[in-house]
Amino acid sequence: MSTATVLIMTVTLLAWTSIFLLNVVLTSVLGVLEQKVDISVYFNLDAKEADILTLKSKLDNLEEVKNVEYVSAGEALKIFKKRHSDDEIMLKSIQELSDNPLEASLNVLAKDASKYETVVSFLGQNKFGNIISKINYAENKIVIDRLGNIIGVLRQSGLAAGLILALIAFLVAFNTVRLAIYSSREEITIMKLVGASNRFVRGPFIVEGVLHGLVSSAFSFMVIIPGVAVIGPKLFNFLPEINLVNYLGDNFWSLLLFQTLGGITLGVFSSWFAIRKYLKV
Amino acid sequence: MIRFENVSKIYNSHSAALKDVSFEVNHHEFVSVVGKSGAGKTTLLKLLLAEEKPTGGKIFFNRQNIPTVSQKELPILRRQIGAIFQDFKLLPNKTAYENVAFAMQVVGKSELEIKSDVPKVLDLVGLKDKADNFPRELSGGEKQRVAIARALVHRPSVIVADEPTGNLDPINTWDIIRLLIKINELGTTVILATHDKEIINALEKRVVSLEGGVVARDENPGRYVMS
Repeated sequence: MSTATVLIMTVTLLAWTSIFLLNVVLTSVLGVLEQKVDISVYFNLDAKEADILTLKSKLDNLEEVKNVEYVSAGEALKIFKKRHSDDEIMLKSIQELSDNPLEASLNVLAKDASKYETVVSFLGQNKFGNIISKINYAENKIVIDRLGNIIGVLRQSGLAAGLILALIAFLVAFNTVRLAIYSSREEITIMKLVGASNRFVRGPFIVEGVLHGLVSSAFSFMVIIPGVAVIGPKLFNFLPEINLVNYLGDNFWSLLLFQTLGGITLGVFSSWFAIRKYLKV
Repeated sequence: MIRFENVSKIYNSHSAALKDVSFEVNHHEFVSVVGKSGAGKTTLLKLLLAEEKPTGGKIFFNRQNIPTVSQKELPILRRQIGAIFQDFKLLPNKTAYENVAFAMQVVGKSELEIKSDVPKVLDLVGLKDKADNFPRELSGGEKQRVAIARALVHRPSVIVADEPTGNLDPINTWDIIRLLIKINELGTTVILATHDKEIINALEKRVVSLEGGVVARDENPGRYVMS
């Protein structure tokens, strides 16, 4: 019975920790995605660099804006050449032109996806509006909006699903402990009838709860460490911004502490409540 | 010493297990409580052990009113009342010695006391040689003697026995009854609930007869009278 209890509690703790790690990954994925959403403001070929830089500093002062990056026409050409370095025809056709055909641009990164509307309307009403040739917001707008929605829904539903799963796991663990104590009900009754105090009867079960918590926390970590070692690098290849292995390394002790505390709380709480019924003799 | 005052116990609205029961048990008395199944014998003893609370009335043990004893004081009260049951209530995974020792550990007695007291009490019930046997290796009569040893180990002032011979053959039954008489002669009050007519008639001690939850007769010495 004890083995079953420890296993169920291990699975419960695994579920809790996985939900937590998944949440960490999800949050950083969303962060990464948000970072990738920006809008580019292109300027007319004859726009003066000074004007563009004035606009940049104005944008920098906006509360909604996180970062503005200036890409001059020259830099844009360099980037273009580099990107097409193995494309002979493209490079030759650029060399044919005497002037730089590329426009200077500002890459604007807002604090979050919902703020772009404000930034765009600011650009529109600005007196510099006439030097702007194009804002790629309109074409990005659908993507930005959709991403904003997805982020919101993911956060909420992820949280809800996580809570429900954690609750189910808790109830299963609690029930297992209850069953274990149910099988000792005879013993509990006899103890009570020969004059044992409630504290004396409860003591061993509480200690058992603590031990179950400790052992299942250890077991759970024995699964999590290899699990992260396998999944972490794969995730890292896919999204270089998320290094789960480093995350686990950095937070090892606090994760272990919280998991152990979780296990002990689960064990003690379950024992305490399950035994109450049989103490009323 | 023990006094029931107008005690009633109602489990549901249709029937009462006990109705207005009053009687008193004195020190060193041997009282049999008799009646058919369902007459209220077990209920009466459960109330005495505070396993259940009465619907009305008072049950005094010395000066204490048992139904009002708090959860905290209950263990102390129970150590003064030794209980014996028809189904023995022994722990199957402990030997005879351990079953008795367990009752002492439970109340926090030292190993030294346990080592000196348990063999004595096992000797008293005649189970010196069976101390290391598990309940499944003992006969019904021997099991009940282990249970009596366990009840005695707290040196209670009263022993409450609920149908202690209900599962035993006649020979073992008499062994147990003789043991209870011996305990009574050593100075412990005994309250014996039974429906065994032969025992009652041979005992020639006080008999309280319950019929349908009321005290029908209280005679000393009494006989088992079928109504």
